[in-house]
Amino acid sequence: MSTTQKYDAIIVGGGWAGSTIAWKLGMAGKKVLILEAGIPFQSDNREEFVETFFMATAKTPEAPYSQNYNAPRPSVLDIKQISNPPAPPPDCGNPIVSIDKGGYFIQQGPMPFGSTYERLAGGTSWHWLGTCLRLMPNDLKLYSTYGVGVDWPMTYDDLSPYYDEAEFEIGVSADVDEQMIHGITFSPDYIYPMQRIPPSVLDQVLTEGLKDIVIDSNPLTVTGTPAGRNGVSNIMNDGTVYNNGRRLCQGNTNCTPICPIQAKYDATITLNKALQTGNVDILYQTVASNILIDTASGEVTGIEYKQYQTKNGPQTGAGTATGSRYIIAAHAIEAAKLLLMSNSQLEAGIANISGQVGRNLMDHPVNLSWGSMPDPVYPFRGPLSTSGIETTRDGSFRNTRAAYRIEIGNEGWNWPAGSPYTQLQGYVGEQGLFGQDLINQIQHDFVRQFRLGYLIEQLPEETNYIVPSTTCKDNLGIPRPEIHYNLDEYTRAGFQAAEEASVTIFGAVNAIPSTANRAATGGEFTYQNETYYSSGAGHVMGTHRMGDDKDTSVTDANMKSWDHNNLYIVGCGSFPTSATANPTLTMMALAFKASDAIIADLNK
Amino acid sequence: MTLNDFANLSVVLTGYPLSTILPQLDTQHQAQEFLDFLQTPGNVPAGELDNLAAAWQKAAGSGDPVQGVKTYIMADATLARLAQNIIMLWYLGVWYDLGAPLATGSYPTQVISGKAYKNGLAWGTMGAHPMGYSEENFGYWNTVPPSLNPQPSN
Amino acid sequence: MPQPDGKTGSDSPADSSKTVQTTLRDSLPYNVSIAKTDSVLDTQIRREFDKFSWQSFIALNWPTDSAQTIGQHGDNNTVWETWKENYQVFLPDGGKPEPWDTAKQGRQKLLVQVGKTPTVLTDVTQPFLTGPLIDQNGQYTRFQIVMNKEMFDYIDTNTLYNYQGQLNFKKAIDFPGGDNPTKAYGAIMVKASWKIMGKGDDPARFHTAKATIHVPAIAQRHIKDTTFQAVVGLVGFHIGTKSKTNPQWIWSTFEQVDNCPTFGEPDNGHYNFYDKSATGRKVNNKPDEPWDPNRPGQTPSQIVRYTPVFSGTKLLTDSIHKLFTAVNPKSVWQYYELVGTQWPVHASQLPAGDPFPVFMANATLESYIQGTVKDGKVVYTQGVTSSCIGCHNGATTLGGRTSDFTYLLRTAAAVKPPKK
Repeated sequence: MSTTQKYDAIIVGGGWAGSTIAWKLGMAGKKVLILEAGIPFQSDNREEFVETFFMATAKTPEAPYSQNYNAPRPSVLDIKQISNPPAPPPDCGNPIVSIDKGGYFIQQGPMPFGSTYERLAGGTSWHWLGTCLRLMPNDLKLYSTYGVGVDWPMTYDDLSPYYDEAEFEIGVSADVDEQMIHGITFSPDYIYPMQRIPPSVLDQVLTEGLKDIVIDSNPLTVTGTPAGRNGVSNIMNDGTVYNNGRRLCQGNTNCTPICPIQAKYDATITLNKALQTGNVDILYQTVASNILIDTASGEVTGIEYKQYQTKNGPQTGAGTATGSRYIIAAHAIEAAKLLLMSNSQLEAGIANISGQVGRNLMDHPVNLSWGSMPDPVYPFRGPLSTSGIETTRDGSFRNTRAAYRIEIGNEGWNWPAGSPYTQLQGYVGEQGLFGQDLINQIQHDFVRQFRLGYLIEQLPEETNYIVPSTTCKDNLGIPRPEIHYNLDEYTRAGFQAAEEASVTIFGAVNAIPSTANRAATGGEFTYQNETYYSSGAGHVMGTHRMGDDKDTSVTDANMKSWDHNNLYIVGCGSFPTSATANPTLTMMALAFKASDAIIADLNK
Repeated sequence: MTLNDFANLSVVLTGYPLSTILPQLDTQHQAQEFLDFLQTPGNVPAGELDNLAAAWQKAAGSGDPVQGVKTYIMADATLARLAQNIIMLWYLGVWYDLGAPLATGSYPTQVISGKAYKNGLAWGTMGAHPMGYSEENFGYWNTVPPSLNPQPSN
Repeated sequence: MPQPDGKTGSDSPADSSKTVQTTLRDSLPYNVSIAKTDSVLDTQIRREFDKFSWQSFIALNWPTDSAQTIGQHGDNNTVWETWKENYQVFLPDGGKPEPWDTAKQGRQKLLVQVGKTPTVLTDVTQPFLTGPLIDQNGQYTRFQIVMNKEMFDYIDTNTLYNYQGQLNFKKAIDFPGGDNPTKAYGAIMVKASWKIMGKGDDPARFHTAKATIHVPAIAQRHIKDTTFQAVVGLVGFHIGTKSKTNPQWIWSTFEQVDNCPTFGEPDNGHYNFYDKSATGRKVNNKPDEPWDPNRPGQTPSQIVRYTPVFSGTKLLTDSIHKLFTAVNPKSVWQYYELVGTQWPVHASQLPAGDPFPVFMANATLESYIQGTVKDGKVVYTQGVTSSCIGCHNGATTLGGRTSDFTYLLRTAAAVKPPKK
């Protein structure tokens, strides 16, 4: 694994997009080197992570993955309201102390960016929920259809075959029949690898209770959420039974932050396949720190990196990786950060003639609604989410307010209100319940808990952006991300619509809404004299968007940089708009698309 | 406090039978792990565990252990606070700062062990399982749980 | 058949915890026998299950010529190697398997992958694609699964050997359970791991067999189709027995005594899967990719047994070894040890039945999920670290229904629809 060797491709990032591209290139006979900032893919990963999770007092998405000060990641525990002006980050001179005290991000507001990601082999796939929704055709032409946002430089039909490829590699469980919503179409005779995951008791109650409800011309139809977790196999069109060799879901109700049995797909599966080709090398604990170019031709000539041995130890190595093509697949914020901090040759950074790198940062701000059903629905059983309402994702209202999808949560009030800890603390501590009285209370209250999450669209805004901090660095001396972020009127109006929908939904099923014990208040904001709370969905998009105009986008539709002929930038950062679907499936489809383009490029 | 006293007190505090708290054929040794934790210097202020043991003796000898716990333990602020922490040990495998009241705004100081988390009683009480540990089979969530009551051991 | 001692010590239940096995029998036990006086879990009850494991091991490895005694000539053909292999039951076209015929079996050992065009070499990869096990000569360990007639009959009769049959089977899968009073055998499955005898191996310390090793081509990974003959030695042996009183099955596991050192104990000597001088190798970690059995010069696995064998189990094993060497001092069977037996302590605590010991692993078959080491101590992760019952509890048919603790049903293919 020598870095003096020139590879066909250098990939920054051994996460989802990076592993996908490495696999495709490796299968095509290309020699690839992956630079992965975090810890290696090794046999004891899952045991170690699940143990760390069990022992964590705060069970956040990042709880299993202990902080790595040399490749730090953000934590939801650090999301706070931001004062005006923002307080300076604490102890910047001591990265470990500073990251522990104030969090990895330098949040400049006005609103805190609410989502997080992981940096290790396999990337954020370790903690993803598993949702595999396709975009709707109108999602890719928001501007032409509704006059807001921008259009993608491709249509749904361009993406469709790549969705097929992604769904097969992940192993998605869904029924085609119920997925053709708002114009989504499938290839002829398309079969998902596995059948829809069985709906939960809550799903069934909502399906029945909402069957006559219509909001803004959309019926509230509950459908199974396509999921990258193992269900009952289908027979594929070639007659084989789909079998990826892993167990079926046993409803550990823990998809985020980690599936203990790997019934849920994670990118180490594709990373493993990439390494099995014999054409892919990987350097772990290797953090890309600077992209070098030939200023005359604009071609990238190398990527410098720093290496370390332990999560809080010093730098122990350095080097430069060289290849014919360079692919940045480092997750939206880290990718933009790397491009911008590589500014010793080009002041604006690499790939940034458009000025759009780091800009148009988008999340899916989530509105959480929770309450109690009249009859028990038995939460904390099954995957975290098995169904949702997708019909709300499109409609004429999109010219004035953000659309949303409704994720039905099977984990009671865990996310919005810290259940079961918070409530149990109250029963035992404040009400003094014990013994049978305590059991009775649990069996009355907890079994009725349910929650909905509205994933609300956010438009691309130049004023939502990340830049490398000029003052605060991580333990390797690499700048931490400084984030400027807000929710605009379009999205705030979406929150208002979501709350109104909750009133309708809760009324339709006779549920009692609750706002008690709200766990997270960092995303508080006001709109039309009402207070709302935004949580991050864990989706980070937009920071190196595709387009068909080099002045307003960072890459073309194949994720090739407009400015450097041998540079590709892939990941959710490629999204021009956020729509309302969880972005992972589309990200992988785009990674397959980019792979085809890169291979064709190398073969020229 | 002896293991038997701790187990019998835990039966009253949790509402679960002895066959759950201290089974005859014991693969988990959960009661012992909790007692060891309570007896580790620094976790409980000196003497408090002995006071609780003494109060339990009175409660157990009173003829109505549940009422006895109310009279001799829950009526005393310090003993009640310790008893509450013991309930949380059994129900969620977590410990709280004894120096502060237990309330919805509290926050655990530590998880005792992966085993204690996995054995947390709260989840089965509502017909579920600890998040991250399920012994159920595919599709079980499609129907209501067969029962919620504390499951008797054989 | 000849017996070294006349006593039948294991038949006196009153003091079963104290008696030592004194006979070698070719009769496979139907089920474990627990005496009324057995009340201590760790010792008395465990010992009954360990005795059951040894009785099963002895009977399964008994010579096919029942006039012989096990190990009488050092090594011998075995009964279990006349059982049907998994790939003979779950055929690539989902068709009906050939009838049970032990005379036909056992003639030839073919160590080959299951399935037509796998992307994974299933016979060299440990469960759930965790990785192959590589010996000191860079050779891959091969795995083999067989089942007894009772298990085969249930699959055959109920058409569980293909996808369609499994989806059509609406009842709960319930293999017959071994039962002492009715003298009925239950389903038994055996998983064996074999290493190729080579430099540094003394075949006299192994049960060996001649095998045809087949490595199928996987073009995408430049793996060429290769077939060669080799003498292989048994290094690991799992027995899963469905029992009427232990419906979560009884899980017995054995290893060849030279496999690896135990964590915290001296590591001198020759091992199959450990090299004391290789201090740079990460312990219990998958080999570097790509996993190609033909690729020369691969780094051997560095395996350590993280959980010591229970002292009572070791004592029982010692006493059994004495029986083997009394038959023939060169009996190969004295080089196999019982690692442990797992069973459901409270079978009615559904679905997993409260297994004991809580965690269990065979160093050759679950090498990479034995636990992790933190601050010099082994840490076991609930639900992730190896447990026979814990893992097999999640096994399903291709229709998503529970498959009664076997993953074999999931290897079935679909019958192709008739051509139009």
